[in-house]
Amino acid sequence: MLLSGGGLVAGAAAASAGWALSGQPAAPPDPAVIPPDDDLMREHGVLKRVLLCYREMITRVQAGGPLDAQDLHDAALIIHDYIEGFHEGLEEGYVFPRLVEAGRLASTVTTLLVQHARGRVITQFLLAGATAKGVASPGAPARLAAAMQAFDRMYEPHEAREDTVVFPAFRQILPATELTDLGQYFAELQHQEFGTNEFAAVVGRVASIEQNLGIYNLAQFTPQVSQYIPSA
Amino acid sequence: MTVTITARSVPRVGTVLVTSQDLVLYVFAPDHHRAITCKGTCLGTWPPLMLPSGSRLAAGTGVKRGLLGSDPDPSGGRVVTYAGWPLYTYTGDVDPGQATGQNLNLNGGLWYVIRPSGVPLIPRS
Repeated sequence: MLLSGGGLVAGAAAASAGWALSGQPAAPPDPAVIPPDDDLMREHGVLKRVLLCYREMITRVQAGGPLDAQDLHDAALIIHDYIEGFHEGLEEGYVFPRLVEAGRLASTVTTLLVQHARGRVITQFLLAGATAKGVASPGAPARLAAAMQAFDRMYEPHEAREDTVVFPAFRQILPATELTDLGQYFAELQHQEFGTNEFAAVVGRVASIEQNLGIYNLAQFTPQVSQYIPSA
Repeated sequence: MTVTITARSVPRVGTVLVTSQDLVLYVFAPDHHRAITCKGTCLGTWPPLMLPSGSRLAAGTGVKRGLLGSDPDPSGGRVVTYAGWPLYTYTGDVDPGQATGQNLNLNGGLWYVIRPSGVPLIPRS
């Protein structure tokens, strides 16, 4: 299914050309720069936290409660701007093509690309519906909750597979010097597209949504288990 | 080497421009059919259709040769254009004949397929 001469490999050429011809001489490696796969995995942490926000909103709707348009909008916007508009571009431009060229995980990469595309459609739907008028229209909360549920169900295994299979394979095929250079380039791209401290800023935004939803306090998720583990 | 653009009927969008491998081509609204504005991670998701040095452009069936051109890519090389619009493919189209990027708002703007007439398919709001 994946076209060997198609958009993905063409994208690798274009993206790699941009990387190689960034116009700047290679700077000495900065020990503070994160390896590209580690960088992508910490960005997955942002995704995970938004999935948790979606799950909380789904639970409330299913219990007959309201859906807050602002919380939904803010969460979906993080997905749109940071995950879909940045993180996935890194994967699609710099990770997936190299794996396909190396004859690794082609079928998995195809599935991941399809899921990226499907996720963007869902996010567009969520953003369109995340208005005061939108969530108030009959049936809208249930539809929006169903869309969030589909998004969660897809992206939980998606990112788990990337973290445990795709990124380790990527690290295997890339020479150490290229990994270092790519990590620096990822940092440059983030700086160009968002300015300084963007990761910290987006984590702050997610935390704010979690606080609105009452799920920021990590300790609340520690279960009481004595009712089914008597010795605990 | 020849880079050929063809017109093909694609489900849900009708007759639009495609590459020689039948990948649907898109235009990016912020380019304003003047210049390439997709850069950085945008290029990872929307690879521009490049015109390699020494290659020639060819118009396939249904395509107007006079509308084909190329623009310098800020990242290097040249990008194929049609009616002044830089052309891109979409990584979400994993098979020929897909147009999953049509009307998608991503990387700072809207994306559209483009007709052989040179007009992007912009839905009526």
